[in-house]
Amino acid sequence: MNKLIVLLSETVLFALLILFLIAESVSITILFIVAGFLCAAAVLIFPKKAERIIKPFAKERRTAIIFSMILMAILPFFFTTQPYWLLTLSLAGIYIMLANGLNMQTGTTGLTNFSGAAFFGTGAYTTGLLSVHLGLPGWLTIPAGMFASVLIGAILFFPVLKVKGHYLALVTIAFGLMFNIMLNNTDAIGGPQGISGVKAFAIGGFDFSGMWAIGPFIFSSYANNYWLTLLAAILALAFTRYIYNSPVGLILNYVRDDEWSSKSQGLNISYWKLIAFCCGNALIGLGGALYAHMIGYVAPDLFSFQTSLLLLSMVLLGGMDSIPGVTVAAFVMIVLTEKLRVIQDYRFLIFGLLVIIMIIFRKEGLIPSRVRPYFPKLKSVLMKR
Amino acid sequence: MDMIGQQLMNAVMLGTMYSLVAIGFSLFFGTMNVIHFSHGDISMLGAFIALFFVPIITQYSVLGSVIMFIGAIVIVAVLGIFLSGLVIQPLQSSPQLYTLLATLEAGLVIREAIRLFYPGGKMSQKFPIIFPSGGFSIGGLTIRFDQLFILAIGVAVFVATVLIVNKTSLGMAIRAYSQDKEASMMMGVSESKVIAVTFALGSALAAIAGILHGTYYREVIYTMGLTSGIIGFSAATIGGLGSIWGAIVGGYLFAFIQTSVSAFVPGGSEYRDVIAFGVMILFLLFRPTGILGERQSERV
Repeated sequence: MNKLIVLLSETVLFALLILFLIAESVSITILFIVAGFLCAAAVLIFPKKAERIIKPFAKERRTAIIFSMILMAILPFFFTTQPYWLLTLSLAGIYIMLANGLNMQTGTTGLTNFSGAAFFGTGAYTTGLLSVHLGLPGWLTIPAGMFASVLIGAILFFPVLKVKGHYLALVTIAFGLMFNIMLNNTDAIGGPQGISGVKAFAIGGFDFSGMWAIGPFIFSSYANNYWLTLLAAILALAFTRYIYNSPVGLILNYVRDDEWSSKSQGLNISYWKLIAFCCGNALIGLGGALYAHMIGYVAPDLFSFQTSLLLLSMVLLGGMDSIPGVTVAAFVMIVLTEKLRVIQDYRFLIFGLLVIIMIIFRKEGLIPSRVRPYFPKLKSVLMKR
Repeated sequence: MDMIGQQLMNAVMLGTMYSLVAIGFSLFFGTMNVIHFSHGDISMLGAFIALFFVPIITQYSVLGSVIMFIGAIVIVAVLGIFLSGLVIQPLQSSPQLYTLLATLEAGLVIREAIRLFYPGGKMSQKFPIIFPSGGFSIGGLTIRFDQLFILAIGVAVFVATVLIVNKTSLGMAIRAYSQDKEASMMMGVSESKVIAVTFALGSALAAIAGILHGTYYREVIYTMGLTSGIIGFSAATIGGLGSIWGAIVGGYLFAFIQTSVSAFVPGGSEYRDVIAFGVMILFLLFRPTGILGERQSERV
């Protein structure tokens, strides 16, 4: 029974997503958005009723995850004529990685990182430079991009360990600004024009920019990149979930919530902060590397403070320290702005206002992170009290 | 000698503007223990509001400039109080991160609002010339009249701020509130009044900085607030957050670092901010309380 509910509701959601993306008229798009908002509002207002729909998902977690992966994998079959939307979805996948990497630092460990875009840029630029100037293959450039992000993050290690609160915010903002100035003024990496002509990902003789077909279905480079991004996003999410649910995740939360107490329990705070910072940066770098291969072009404009704030907005709107929340927020924010070209110019304004409203009225975000259910029985006892 | 003199003058100009913004950061931190990250954008807003007074300037030159100054300052001060009520006071009891994010996003909203809704806001806007042009030279060093005016206004504002905080009863209330919130309230200090006055004062200083920036560079653009805000905070940090003199010293020091990098390092003018921020980070690491000492240290 539970399984059926899960399969059915996932299929319905999937169909709605495809319809939403394919629909061309603005009025239908707006209708979808209004309906989506009403659903979200209903879930927020009647949490008990919503729980009844969410419960089967919690019980049949494995089925839910595998089935949704299958659905997302077959998605390109529906977009053979309009492959552009696959690009949007891939972009959403990349932002899911970025936002989750940032969430691991800011949400889980409490390391305020306002220079997410700088690490995104490091990944993208490293991959781009290695691909254009040295002609290295994708399976080398992508790990290199991740590694470079971690390495550039090393410059910030010392301040991150020593400095707290708004000073950490100041340091990371200043770092982001410095990074952007360097990108704009260093001619060796293209200056304001950036790097163009980054080759598409290729592995074992198969070039991701090429076309291929199964029967009547023709897949373009968009579909190839979509699958690559999907795979990376699934791996990234699995990794973040694994970390979050492991004792490491608990330790990171502990370090965030009470530094003195965790210190007195014998935890090496610096070590754990570094672990979280590096893991987060690696994920952000991965996003950047994939971005460079997918778009084929990197320029300083994208890696500005605006993007850092956008990433933080995703974390905050979705819910600090909540992996599902951050993932949903990143997905919705990217797909919505791509779908509603009208608001493209206003997106920062709208998201900024939304974040302010969210901070004032619902700090925990759309999908708050749950209490860790290590002792389910104990939890039910606590709830009864 | 010639070039050094010019660079020195340039540094003094920049330092005056930075210090004006930095004082705001110090005031807010000293009284309410918050960092108001949209402060730089408030300063930018001051310059753009001043632009609305351009028709008045063209009509009554000198009187118009005075009206422009006072009008922009008053409007921005009121907006500052409004903003503090919106994003800072409701978050007083929640974790620091939320105040940070709320003020940063408020700054983003201000920037975007100017970019989208000010006519032609995407481009830089010409700022009117309000000070007499021309100048004089002493020993090969040319000093423009507008530089003198900027310096004079800056120093007058510094003195006025220090006097307000140190000599008036209002200033005494602010100082009492910043030393001990509960005790000062028991002595009859009105919390809401102190907060309003602090934010009005800080925002007014930021608006003055924005207008001076406009008159000095003859143009304003919506992005100028972000950098001037971060520079202002850096300056306040270098000088010692919470102290007004610290903010002033920090502002000038930051400007001197910037100008000396662009003057003496070959090809350094593009990287002047990079090096100045680097120095700030080093300061934060090795002398966390700033030059003059912070009121209370919580960063290490």
